[in-house]
Amino acid sequence: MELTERTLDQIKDDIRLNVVDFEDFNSRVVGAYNDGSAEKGLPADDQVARSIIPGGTGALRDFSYIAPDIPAFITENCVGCMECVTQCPDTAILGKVVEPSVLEQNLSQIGDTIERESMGAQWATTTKYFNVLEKKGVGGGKFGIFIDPSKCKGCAECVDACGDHDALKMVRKDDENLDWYKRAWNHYKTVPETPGKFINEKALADMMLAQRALLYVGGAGSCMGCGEATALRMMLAATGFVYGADNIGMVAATGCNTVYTSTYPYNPYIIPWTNSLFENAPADAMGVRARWDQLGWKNKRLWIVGGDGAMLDIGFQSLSRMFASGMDIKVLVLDTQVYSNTGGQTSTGSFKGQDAKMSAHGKVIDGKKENRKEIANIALMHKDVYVAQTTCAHMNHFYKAVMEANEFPGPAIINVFTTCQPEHGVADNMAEHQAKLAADSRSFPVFIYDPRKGKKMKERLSLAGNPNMKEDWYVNPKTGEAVDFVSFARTEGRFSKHFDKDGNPSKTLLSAKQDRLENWNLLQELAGLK
Amino acid sequence: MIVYQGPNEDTHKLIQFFRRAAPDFKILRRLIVSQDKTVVLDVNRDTIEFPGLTFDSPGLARLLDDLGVVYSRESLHAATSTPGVVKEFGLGAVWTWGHDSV
Repeated sequence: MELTERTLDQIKDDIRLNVVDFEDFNSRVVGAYNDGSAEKGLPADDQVARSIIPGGTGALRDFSYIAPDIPAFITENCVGCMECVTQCPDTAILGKVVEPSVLEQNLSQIGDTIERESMGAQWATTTKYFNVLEKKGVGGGKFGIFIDPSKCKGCAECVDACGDHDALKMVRKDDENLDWYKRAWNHYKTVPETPGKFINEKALADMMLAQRALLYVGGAGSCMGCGEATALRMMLAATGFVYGADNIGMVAATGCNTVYTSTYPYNPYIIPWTNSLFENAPADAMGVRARWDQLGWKNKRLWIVGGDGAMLDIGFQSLSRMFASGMDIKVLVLDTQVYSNTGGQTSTGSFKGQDAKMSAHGKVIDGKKENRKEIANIALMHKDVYVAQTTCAHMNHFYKAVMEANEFPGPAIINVFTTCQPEHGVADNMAEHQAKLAADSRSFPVFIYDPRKGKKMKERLSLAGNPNMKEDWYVNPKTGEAVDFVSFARTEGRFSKHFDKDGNPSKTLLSAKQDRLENWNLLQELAGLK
Repeated sequence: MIVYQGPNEDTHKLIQFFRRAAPDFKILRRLIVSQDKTVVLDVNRDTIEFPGLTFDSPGLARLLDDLGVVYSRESLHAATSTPGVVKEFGLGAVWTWGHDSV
């Protein structure tokens, strides 16, 4: 008996002291998965039994074989806006600013002249990072954009984000250029981290220049162009930039986000992360928070992440309970308006008329019958909860919301429109565009509700970020046409069955449009705009 | 840029040209119709141009249908009589995953 107890103690000590041997894990376990021998070659061991994956193992995953195309950087057109870096769901495209003398020194280490010139040509002279700083007399820096071919899935979201700048284009991969991309990525890694003087803390887009903001290393199993992964990266960037990687923890509710970020043995996070169940992430987080507070770790930021299925449906009670607790816990809802992970079933967040499983459009019913549940509206009726509804396309709005949520001394929730390409029926490069359109069309208005802003609702609720805030609909100045829910629906496959051969919308879709308008009018009224 | 040089009134020929040309482009992104031409752009902003193909051309509706664009035929016809109007259509819509299995 005594021996057994001692053995158990030893086991406990071993677990506490040696949570995981990450060097062994990275070489033996990840190595076996990478070379395909894992299924037959790896023995069952206590690491697997404990379901522990070391941080950042996603960096060891190679996706270079999955897409035919890869972005190419056109240096002379780049303005250094960082949109491509921000919008990439896979941390496959990163930027860096370097002192010219440091770059020269680095390049001089490359013996081959053609190779040296080729790498040097990747560094742009931009107004933002060079000319402005030169004028200020502090010395400008060269700005480079580099693509990690092992992480890029070829979605072209970065090219779309680049837009009129035309500084990126998709090119066909071949053995020769793939090898060049690998060498260029290695060159990027040899250049020192962007010095602080080039990171304007007021220009939130610059945050991803800082290593401390890059807490999601890619290598996740998410779909090409996944809108969720971008939201995760951006939330971690804004939190890591201010608090550092050592002061963040994440409790994830089961869903797509947990599947693609913990597909054994690949973990894209370099922060502590846990997953319990679909329905209890807020309860789980309350336990973590309570323990952290006991330990005096008040400064650590704790985030819950879940989809609309977890937060609006299955875990709603747990979420509401957490709000009532007043605990310092933040929530990121990845609102895809559908159960993405399980094959596209309707959630309460789905739009009326949406064609999804459990409410498939057919002869008897024409998509979802109910109106959409508004989790952000419900949240702001809880006392003293910071609430934001935003999208990754509204970069500054998103970052501001995350930073304010982190500062708020209590519960906070950020509901993010996240494009799910397979379930929304949009192309891989459309996440940012569709998110912007969702807000412009009042399908998913953006807002911030900060209880600290005043005693009246209209003082606390801001609809800034939506176009034509005082009007029912935004009118596109280029076309003179109102951008409404029907115009949004025309652009997504999930609503395609609601249009007849002449392009006229169904009654259900018009009813959904009315629902969206009423939701928008309610927000206008609460914000004192109507 | 590729320019269609065939007759716009021959919609079959126009579509066949488009179907042959499109695979050489990346993900198609936008279609812009103006009073004197129609341009299809891919994500790289490379273009397939159809000079003379405009709002009242039968080939335009056929091209939009072929691209799976959900548009209002009524507003397309209305644009014919509006001077200077330019219409842009997104080409990002695709079928949802498993749409044919329910």
